Parts: sequence; C-alpha cells; structure tokens
Amino acid sequence: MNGAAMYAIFVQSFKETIRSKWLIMFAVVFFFLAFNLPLATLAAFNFLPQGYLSQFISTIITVTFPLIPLLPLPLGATSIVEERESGFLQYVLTTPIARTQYLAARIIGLYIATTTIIVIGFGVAAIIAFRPSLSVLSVGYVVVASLVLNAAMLGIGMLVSVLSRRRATALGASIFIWFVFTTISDSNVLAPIFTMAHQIILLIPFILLNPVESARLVVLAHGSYSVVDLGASGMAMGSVFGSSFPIVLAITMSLWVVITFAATFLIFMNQDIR
Amino acid sequence: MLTVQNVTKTYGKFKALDDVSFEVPQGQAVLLIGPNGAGKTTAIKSVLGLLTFRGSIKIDGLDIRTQGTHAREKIGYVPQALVFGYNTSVLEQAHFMAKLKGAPADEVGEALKRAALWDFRQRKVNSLSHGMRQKLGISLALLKDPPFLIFDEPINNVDLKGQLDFRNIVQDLSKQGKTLLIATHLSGLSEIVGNAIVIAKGKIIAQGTPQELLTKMNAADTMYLRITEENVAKVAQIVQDILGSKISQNGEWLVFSLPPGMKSTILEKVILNGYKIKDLIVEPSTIESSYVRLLGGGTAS
Repeated sequence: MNGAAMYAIFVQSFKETIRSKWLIMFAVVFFFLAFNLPLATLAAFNFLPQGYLSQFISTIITVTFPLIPLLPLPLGATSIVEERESGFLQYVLTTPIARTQYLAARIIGLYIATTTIIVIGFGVAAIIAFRPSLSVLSVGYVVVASLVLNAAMLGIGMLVSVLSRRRATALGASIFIWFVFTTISDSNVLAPIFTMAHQIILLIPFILLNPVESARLVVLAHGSYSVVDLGASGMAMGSVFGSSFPIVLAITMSLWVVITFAATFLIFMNQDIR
Repeated sequence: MLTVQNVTKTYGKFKALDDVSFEVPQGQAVLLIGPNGAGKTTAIKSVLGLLTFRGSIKIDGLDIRTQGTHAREKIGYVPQALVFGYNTSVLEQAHFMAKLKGAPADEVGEALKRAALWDFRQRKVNSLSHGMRQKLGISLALLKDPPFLIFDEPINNVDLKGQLDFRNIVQDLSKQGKTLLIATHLSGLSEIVGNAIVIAKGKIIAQGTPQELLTKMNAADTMYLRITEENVAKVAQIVQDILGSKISQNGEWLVFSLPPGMKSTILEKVILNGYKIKDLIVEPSTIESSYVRLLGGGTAS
C-alpha cells in the first residue's frame, strides 16, 4: 500500500474539486433552498405550528434531492476521462502507484468534496434558521440519505467516466442519466399512468431502480409524514413490502453504491490506458 | 534490465504489436526507431503496464502485469508531451510527483536546481515552454534515482538547442550507468546509443548496434564532389565505373550514394587520374535515414 501516494492524489482531487465553480454555485443553491427566510422569520416569531419543521423538511427533500445528483454525476463522469484525454492519467500511472489505489484516492477526494458542499449548504442553513428547534434525529435521516444518494450518483458518474473516451460524451451522458432519474422515470410522471391502468404495482421497479426516489422515500418513511408526502410511490411500496419498505429501499440504494463502484474498479483495472 | 518476449497487442483486428521480442541490457542506451504509427508508443505503454497484451514483459525480473508497482519503481518515464491535470506551480507539481514516486521532499529542490528550473518554481506548469517542460519531465523522471529511463519521442517539437541539450543529457545518463530506452521517429540520436531496434507496422524489422544495422540495411553515405567544370563529365565517368551506377550532376557538383568504405577508393582514383577536387562534402548514413529509405518513407515493405 503506497499510502503517501494515495494521500497526495486524495488531496489534489479534493482541492481541485472543492475549488470548482460548479461546486461553489451548488453550495449557494443548497444554502438558499435550506435557508428559507420567510419561514425562519415566522418561526422566530412563533407564528408557525408545532411540527412545522417536518413539513418543511418534506418540501425541502422533494425539491433538493433531485438536485443532489447534479453535483456528483458530472464531477464523477468527467474526472477520469478528463485526465485520460489530457494524458495526465497515463503519466500518473507510470509511477509506482497501483490503479486501485489511484482510483480509490480519486473517489474519496471527490466524495469528501461533494459531501462537504452538501453538508455546508444544508447544515449551515439549518443551523442558522432552525437552531432552537433542530434535533439530530429530525435531520439525521436527511443527511444520511443524501450522503448515500451522493455516493450512488458518484458511483454512476465514475462508471460513466471509465467507460467514456471523451469528456464531452461523459458529461452529456451524466446529464442524460440525471434527466432519466429525475424526469423520465420520476414516479410523479409514471404514477398517474399506472394508476389509470390500475397497475400501480408496476411502479415498484421504477422506484427500486431510481436512487433519487429511493432516497426521498427512505427519509419520509422515517419521519411523521403524511400519505400525501409519501405520494403514489410510497403507497405502492407500502402495499407490496408493508412497513419494511424503507429497509428494502436502503438495501437497493446500498446496492447502487456497491455495484457501480465495483464495476468501476473492475473495468478500470482491466482496461487499456491509452 | 528489460525483457520483452513475444508481445502482441491488438485493437480489434488491428495488430499494433505483432509478436515483438527485444531486450535492453542493463546500462545500455537503446533506440526504438520507426515511422509514426509503427508501434513504438504501444510498445512503451505496454512496458509501463498501461496496456493489456499477450506475451511477457519483465523489468529487472519483475513481471509488469503481476508486479507492476514494484517494476515501475525502477522506471523513470519522460512522456512525449508533459501534461499536468492540475495547473499548479512547478514546485507543487514536483512535490506531487515526488510523493507518487516515494522520493524524499528534499530531493525536489535538488532536482529543480539541477534542471535550472529552481528560479521558475513558482510558475504555473502549464505556462512553461516545451523545452522547459521537457527539462521538468526529465528531472521528475529522475526523482528517486531509478535505474531505467524511458523516453517517448523526446525531441519532438524541441528546438535545435533543446535537441543538443537532450543529447548531452543522454550521454551524461549513459555515463552514470543508467539503462535508457528512447523511442523516436526523428534522426540525430543513433550515434549516441549502443543499440537500436527498428520497428514498422508493429513488427521488429531489425535490431543490433548502429553499425550492424547500417550494414544490414545496405546503408549508403552521400558524397558531394566539386570538380572544375571542364572535368566534371570525365570524373563522373570514373565514379560511375567504380560504383556501377549512374550519378547526378549539378553544375560543378557531382552527387552520389556509396557504401561505407568506398570513399577513399573513389578519391584515390580521381586524384591519381590528375583531376583536382575543389570541395568535398560527405553526409554519413544514419540508421534513421536508412530506415526511411528502407521503408519507403513510412511504409514497411
């Protein structure tokens, strides 16, 4: 294990990612999504009912979770292919570092950088706005689910990156994947169709294969949220898996992480670095 | 130091390397020469473990496929064009590469001073000239003092001074006992290496010392002979009789190719016949010019 080399790549990867304007922009967007000024003002003057926070978090999750993939997907998708296209990857891999070590360090750097942005964006806003009523549990599931979603999307992005020959192709593919997860296979779009056909059960594979929807349902299933919050996909999952559906979703999300990273490593280990 | 045995590399149906075998003995400088697309870079990338291939490549007895990280500890690599993924300063980049190679931090300063780059240490790497990048590339390759250095097209896009500097560097490294493998399609390096390998269309077509290769390739020097105008035709006839082939004439100049060792015979004959030589230029054959002639300017026959 070449620890010093891995650390050097991790530091470079983290520094370069955190400096990216794309990431800084996202930190600001997340902050303003989480820090809702009218809501914070009303809360400060006690104009809001008990339990307003869970209602607000439900809205925030629905709005922000589809945006989270826009952080790790393009960054992951362009990471390896960009270095390959410039020739830097070939140069680095002529040193005594193993490919697995290089890839692991690169992924960790990217993951910690994107996680930092999510935590700063949401965390700082939450602390400023809701400090008096904030409990660890109320946001704990949100944080964990968004970090797993971040990992799953980074895994998909990295897989795209090792499979791509050109940066532009990888970037285009990552945006398309985001579009598929948030629009084409979104349960809000599919649910009315399957409901009309009295085949709501058909929604299940689309939920399980969609980490964004899975993450949203996992969080909402753990809070005191209404059927309205869970939506048609929550009802479908509940009707098939009962009260254990959050566990099923947690497993599928973990599988997204494991399978995409395993495939990325496997392909990268055995491919030509031209 | 390097043993390449029966290496074949294919891209679909295209054979980039076809059953290639060669050796680079310890302490020797070897030139890997061939036209563009011959398979030089593929061979080098295979040696560095960047490509999958059939066959076997060993560096100091270490298999590049199964013991790649240990094998690469023995290699310093200078790429054709030095690129850095991160536009950091020369010093930062050098420290980064030192960490990847496991070299101590204090070696970085020495390496940059040796390459006359210490004064440029705060410059962004991507703003360096091609020549300076090459110097930086060589100094980074020498970090941790590897015994084996690989250069991929080192004098491409380098000005004449840079090419001369590079020759001096190669000679210095040879004197230090380093093993060198230099891939190039350009001329001017064959005189400073101990061995050369000629590659074309993924196959090795010749290998040996520069002199052996010149003999194998029927290498011919080019002689330019200036004779007084009234005697040009008569001297041309003498030379043609010796060489048994027609030669070119341009004013007072006679231009002809001749095998090494024939020069003195021709000069002797011309002088003994009482003709005065006004000027004489000899262009010695090189492996590079001979392989270009042999391959018909890039196509292996």
